Amino acid sequence: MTAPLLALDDLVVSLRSNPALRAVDGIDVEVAPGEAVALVGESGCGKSVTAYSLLGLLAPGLAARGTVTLDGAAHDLADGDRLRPLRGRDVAMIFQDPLTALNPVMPVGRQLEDVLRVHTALHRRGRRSRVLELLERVGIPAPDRVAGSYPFELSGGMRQRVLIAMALSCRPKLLVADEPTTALDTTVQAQIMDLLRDLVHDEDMAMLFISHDLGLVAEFCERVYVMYAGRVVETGTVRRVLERPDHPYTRALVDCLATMGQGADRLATVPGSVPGTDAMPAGCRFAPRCPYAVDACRTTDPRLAPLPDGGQAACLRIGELPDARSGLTGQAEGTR
Amino acid sequence: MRETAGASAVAGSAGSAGPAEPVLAAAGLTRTFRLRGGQGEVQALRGVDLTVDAGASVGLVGESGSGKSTLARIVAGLIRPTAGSLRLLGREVADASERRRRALSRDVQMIFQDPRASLNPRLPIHRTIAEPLRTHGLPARRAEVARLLDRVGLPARVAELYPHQLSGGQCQRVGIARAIAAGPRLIVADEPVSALDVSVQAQILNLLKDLRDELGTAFLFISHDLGVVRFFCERVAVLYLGQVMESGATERVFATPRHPYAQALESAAPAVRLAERRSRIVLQGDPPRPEDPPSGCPFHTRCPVRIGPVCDEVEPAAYPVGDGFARCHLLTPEEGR
Amino acid sequence: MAGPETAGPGAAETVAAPRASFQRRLLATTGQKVAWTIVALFVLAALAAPLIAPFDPNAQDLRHTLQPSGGGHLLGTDDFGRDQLSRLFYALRSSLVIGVLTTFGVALIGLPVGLLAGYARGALDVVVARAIDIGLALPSLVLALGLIAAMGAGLRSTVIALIVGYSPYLARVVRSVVLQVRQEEYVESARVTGVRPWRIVLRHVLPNVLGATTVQLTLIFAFAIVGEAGLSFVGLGVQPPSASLGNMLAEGANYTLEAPMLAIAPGVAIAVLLMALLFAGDGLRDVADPRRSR
Repeated sequence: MTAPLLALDDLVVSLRSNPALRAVDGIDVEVAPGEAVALVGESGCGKSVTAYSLLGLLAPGLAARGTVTLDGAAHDLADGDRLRPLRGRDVAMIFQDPLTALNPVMPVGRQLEDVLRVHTALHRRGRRSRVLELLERVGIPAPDRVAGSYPFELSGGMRQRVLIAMALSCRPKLLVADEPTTALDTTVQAQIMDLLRDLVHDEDMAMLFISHDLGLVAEFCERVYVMYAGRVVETGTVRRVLERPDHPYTRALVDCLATMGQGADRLATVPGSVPGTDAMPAGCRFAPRCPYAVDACRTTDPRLAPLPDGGQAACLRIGELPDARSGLTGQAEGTR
Repeated sequence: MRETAGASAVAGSAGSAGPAEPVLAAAGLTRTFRLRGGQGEVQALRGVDLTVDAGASVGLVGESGSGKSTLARIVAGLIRPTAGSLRLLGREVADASERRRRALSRDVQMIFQDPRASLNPRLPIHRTIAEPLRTHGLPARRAEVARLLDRVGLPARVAELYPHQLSGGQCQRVGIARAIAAGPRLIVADEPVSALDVSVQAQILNLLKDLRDELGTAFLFISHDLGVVRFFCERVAVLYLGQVMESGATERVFATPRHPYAQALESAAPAVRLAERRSRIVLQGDPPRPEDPPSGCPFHTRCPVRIGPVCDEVEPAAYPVGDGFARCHLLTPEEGR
Repeated sequence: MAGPETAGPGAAETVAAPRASFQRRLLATTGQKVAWTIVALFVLAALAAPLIAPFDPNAQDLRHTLQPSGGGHLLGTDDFGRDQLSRLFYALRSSLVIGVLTTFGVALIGLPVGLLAGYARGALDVVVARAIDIGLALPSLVLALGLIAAMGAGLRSTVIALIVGYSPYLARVVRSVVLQVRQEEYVESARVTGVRPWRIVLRHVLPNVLGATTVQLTLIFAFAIVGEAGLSFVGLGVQPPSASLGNMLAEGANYTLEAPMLAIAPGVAIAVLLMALLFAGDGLRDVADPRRSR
């Protein structure tokens, strides 16, 4: 792997009022130039908090610790304001709800021009034509008309395209996309994901894609970090992690989805629910819900360890688990 | 053209309506909303025909603006249809008075999308669950509440808690306990798992399936997630802009969808595994706005296989496919075009 | 039967601790503690006025008028030689009585009217909403003057005038909150369940409107005290020789140079009481909301 574009090193996000409560507890994330990397997990796993902390956009009650190295330059994550120059220029972000990210009383074209004014040396006329160029680039059919529209006059898909245009305006090296299609209809979601994939490919931009949807991750990303209760539990190429998951949590998630997609009579489930930050179990955080847990799992905290076929997983019993290729996963493999 | 849910009543379900009488029969159901300011109106539902037999589960899929939530709210009695007929348990309720409609509430219940918002934050759980029992004059003792909680997989001590003290999945279990408390014959489930995490979704769906098989309750199950509908429903209706575009047995509609919209919807759902991945049909553009519907076939503005002016001008009739139908000019015999 | 994998998960999940006690939630912050202590002290002083007042509040001593602090008169004497501290205790009494009666009256009228206007639909809503608007459009001071002119000045007509003046404010706030609450899924759920409308209003709407109402009522309590002061200032309101914070302030204003304490004492009392009430009101809202208990 070439030198990473982004390296997040030992990120810890905790409550200011009680530093013992950690939303993210020591994670490392790397993204290579031009690579599409996913952070997946269920609500409360810390994936969005991770994205916000690397842009210095954490809520006031939260404090980050750790370093982010972007394009060779290291920055301390503890001071959110120091990260501000990176935002928009090197790293851009798009959000789940495009409506709240746009100013409701300003035409979207002018909002785009404002971003260009801050980050580029373009003159007024140059900005204007660049705006139309950007809107066209994100697949908006009538850029002229859309530039003069207010956010409420646009559909959800159009708004998300405008936000993507805004993110592209300064040719960032990394695009952070936080559940960018969750609020959209299925058929529109497909359009937006296609657009994002094309942009990553054509503009040589890397993407950190935050999602709860393993299906989207499988289709659009190259590598994936699976998060659970503030930790990364498994990482590797999307093909390996989702086709042959090693960690029991990843297996359980994939099984849930697989049984739903195959018209099974009963769905595979993960018993219980994600622990809260104030009730983290000792030892492995997944142990109380894990079908393979033994006594050691409840006392020893597993660390990410390399796997024989690439990637890493944090599980004490990784070598002793039944072969992931058996059972449901095996059936899917067999049909190929 | 009538859509009939084929599955017969599950053993154990019994009622005055008898096996031949569907629990829900809608014909030409239409609902128009007036736009704010009094100018213009939106047709949220445009002549929907739908039948749910006793004990059957019918899925309703569609995107925002398709009218699926409007249909759910009409069936649950929250709003009234503008035109058309709606028979619930054999009784016509389309223009029933509020009092007459309320008399049916014991038999028709609803599960909501946002599990926490559907519970009164100021009431402890036992009072929420006991409400349908009290309302319909059934014994509402604590033991009964505990039994209902147990039935949805919650410990009895949850009865004393408030909604904010429960997780989303637990709240939805409470919502389900409330819905089944008075023994309804039909449950309208409006996106019951879409606000939940995947692993919790699976728990709730298994629970709903168990309860359905055990109680013989019929379901009108609304979802935008085809996988969920495929798991839960034996029949499905695909809504677009207030009309049923295609309906039929779930397996048939998913295996060989005939309407181009149903095909696109089916192909757009992302799959985790390579083996299940299909070539996707990516539709162009946004769904039309319901306040400004296209002429002819409502889907013609985005249709990848539009055959000509007939699509822009003539609203396609429902053409029988299997035991259901699809509304597309591609399916009409050549001389009918 | 729910199978083991469905029966297990709910049970395995963590279930939260019971609600914190009423008292602990009410006095959650230091600010709350201070506010409630001040309110309690004022109420105590008013209740115990006959016991703690060093003099008869109406006993005149024309040889010692407008005395500064000292000689047994902690806050000095007024233009009739009456003990200012004793009068302050009794004034607190009438002001608090006016505050309590007005608040009750406003709640009794404004709350049901607001609930009705918010939950009813069609003609009833339109009629009631218009009536509220008309009530708001009338200048409350003019309204009060008219009412007092018709009924004669005094505590009773002051309270009635204040109730008439403030009820539309509460009704309007309640109506707008009800309009939000009736859209909530739990209210729709009760409708689907077949609960009768009046029961929905009492069980589902009212409790969820009370938080906002409580804050408004503490405001109205405070406004009533200020409103009485205003009416007394123009010679209406509580009539001498009975003392109220308002008429003490009005009389004291005539002697700002000779005896500034005559205006300062009731003025400070009004200001401190007002601030404590407003602060305490926020605490009440939090108590009424189970989501804020932790």
